[in-house]
This record gives sequence, structure tokens and C-alpha cells, in this order.
Amino acid sequence: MLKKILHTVGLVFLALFLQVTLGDWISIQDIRPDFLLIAVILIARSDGKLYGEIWGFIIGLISNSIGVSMLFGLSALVKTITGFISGYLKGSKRSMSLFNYYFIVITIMLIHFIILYTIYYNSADMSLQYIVMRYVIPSTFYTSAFFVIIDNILPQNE
Amino acid sequence: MFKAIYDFIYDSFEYILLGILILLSFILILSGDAPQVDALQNSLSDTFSFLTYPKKLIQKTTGLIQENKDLRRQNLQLIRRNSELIEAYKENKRYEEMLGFRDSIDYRVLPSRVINYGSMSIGQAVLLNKGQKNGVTKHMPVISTEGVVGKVVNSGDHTAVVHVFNDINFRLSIRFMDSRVVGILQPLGDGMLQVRDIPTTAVIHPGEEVVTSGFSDIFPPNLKVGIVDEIKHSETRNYQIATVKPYVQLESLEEVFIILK
Repeated sequence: MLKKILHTVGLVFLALFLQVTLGDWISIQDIRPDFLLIAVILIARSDGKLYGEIWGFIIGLISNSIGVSMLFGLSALVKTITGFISGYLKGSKRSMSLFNYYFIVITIMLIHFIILYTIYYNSADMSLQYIVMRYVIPSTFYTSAFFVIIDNILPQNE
Repeated sequence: MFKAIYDFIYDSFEYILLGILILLSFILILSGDAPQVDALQNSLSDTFSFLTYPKKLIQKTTGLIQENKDLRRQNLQLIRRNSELIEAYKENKRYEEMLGFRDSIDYRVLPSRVINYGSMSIGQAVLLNKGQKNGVTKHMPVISTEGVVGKVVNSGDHTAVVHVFNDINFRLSIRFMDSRVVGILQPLGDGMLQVRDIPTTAVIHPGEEVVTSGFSDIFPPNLKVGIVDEIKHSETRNYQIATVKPYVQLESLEEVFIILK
């Protein structure tokens, strides 16, 4: 149990470190990969819905505190939902084809970014179509690319 | 009866907790200005600010050589400019005395170092190394030598988070320097800023300087913001839209000043 918690805390700190250190440098046209989202999905996939939603909430709060200062609680909201949904992936990497597995992960990320950006950019003078094309889809694919890499580097502990 | 309730809670615990966490998130979003939420945000940003130090260290080392070159070039220009400004200042003082104006710039500033900028996937914020222990509180304006940077949205004991001007939710009351027209500045999302709803009768030209209007409770007047890049008419031609290029380059921002109230 303790080993499991330490493993998760380690993963969260690694994600935070990557986000803070690399987030700005590897941004393309203001689009940054969300390493914290990757951490939430990996935790939920490994430990299930319950841990996914709890860690999603905690990671969301931390993310809100050191990054986005407005709408405190928004990241916690979306990452809690993401953690819960990703929990359904527990044990799925072995049981389903790789294509289906990554397709579901990308869909989860898409849902995450749609909720996040539509609420955050609500007050901006931008159409939903523009927000989706300019922010949601690029962020989803940029984060997915890093997810595939990290998912294959980290030891599998489903 | 109790066993049935217990069984229900046990079986649906994940869903009940999900509901509680979503509710908690909504409460946090809706009570953004509550002191308890502020306190939570401040303590979290203070606690995790140590994560930004490695990035700052790398930036500091790699940026010093280039910064030195830039500063030498800037220094030469400033020496020349300084003598011109001294003359203009003296002249301005004479006019002010003649008109009975008093010097209105009487705010104190606190220098601060930027320890992190915009690393999250959404939103724009800058983390500073000064906080409540240095007298920094919420809603204090933050400027650099180039112009307006943003405003403090929360401050921990030793750090403060600044909501910067290019965040999509930032709004600033501004004035066009030459035409004296006022407007509300908002970011476009691509590094440029925009002022909408300018009357078609207003004569604004590209290259015109944009400063704070002073109508806001937060920003004092005449702080530099940017320069007009382009003027265009709205689709209905009822008003004009000005695109403004900000003076401050947030990516290379290192030192700022917090205006203490």
C-alpha cells in the first residue's frame, strides 16, 4: 500500500516538474502538453476510478494554484471527471487492442479539453468552433503524443 | 435498514465521492473571491513554488550572455534618450507649475523577480518571488520597465501569482494617447491585444501609444501598455477595432515592479 502511494506521489511530482520546467519551452503557438492530465490518466488506469478521481481532484487543485489563477477549481473539476472516466481503463491495455486503447485515451483527453477550454474561454469573444480548432484539438493531440511516449517508457503496473 | 444503507454506500462509494468532488469543485469556482479559497490557493502556490527553481536556474545561466549584449546596446540608447528626457521633464515641470498641476505619481514600487511563467496547458500567469511578507496583496498592479504586466490575483507568504495581460480573461481600461479615446483592452489569444467598440468618429492611427486610463481601481493612469498595430472597421461598420501590440514580452520577463497601495 505504502509502495503504491509513494509510486503515485512520485508520478505526480514528476508530472509537476515536467509541466513547470518544460511546459513553456515546448509550447507551440501557446499550445502546451498537459503532463498533469497524463499523470491522472496513468494513475486511474493503474488504480481504478476511486484513486483516479481523488488524485484528479488533488492534481487539479495544485495545477490551478501554480498555473491558472482564474476560476480556481476548474482544473480540479475537469481532472476529477477525467480521473473517474479513465478508471474504466483499468486492466484494459492488455485486454483490448492498442488502437482501441489509445483511441479511448484520446477521446478522454478530448472531453477534458473541451470542458476546460469552453468554460475558461467563456468570457472571450470566440466561437466554440474556433476554440475547438485553435485550442482543444491541438492540445489533445500534443498531449496524446507525449502520453504514448510516457506510457511506453514507464513500467506497466496495471 | 442500516445494513442496506451501508451496503448502498459501500457499493456506490466511487459515485458518491465523484459527486462530492464535483460539488466541491463547483463551490471553489463559484466562491473564487472568498478568503478561505484565497488562503488555500496561496498556501498551495507557496508550497509548490520550489518546483520552479530548476527552470529559473537554467534560464538564468543561459540568458546571461545575451542579456549582457542587449543591456550594453540599450545602455547606449538610454544615455542619449536620458538627456532628451531631462530637458522635456524640466519643460513639463514649468508648464505644470504654470497650470497649477501637482505631481500625481506618488506610488511606491517593490521590485520582484519572476520565478515562473505560463507552464500550464491553459491560462497565463506569472509567479513572483515576493508575497504577503513583503506587503504584496491581491489586486496590486504589476509593471515592468516596458509597461503593464498584470495584477496580483493571490499572494502567499513568499510568492504571488500575477494574472497577466495576455490571458484570455484579462481586461484593462485603456486610453489612446493622442486621440484621448478610452476603451477596454482584451487579449486576442495570439499575443496581440484588441480594443473593440471604438466610435467611428474617433481618429486613431497605427503607431499611437496606448496607456492605462486610470478609470480602474487597480491601475493608476498613464502606465504604458502597447502601441496600435492596426485599425479596422467592424463587420457592420458601426465601430472600429484596434489591434494593439503590447510592449512587454512576457516570455523574456525577469524583473517586475509591484505597485504597493
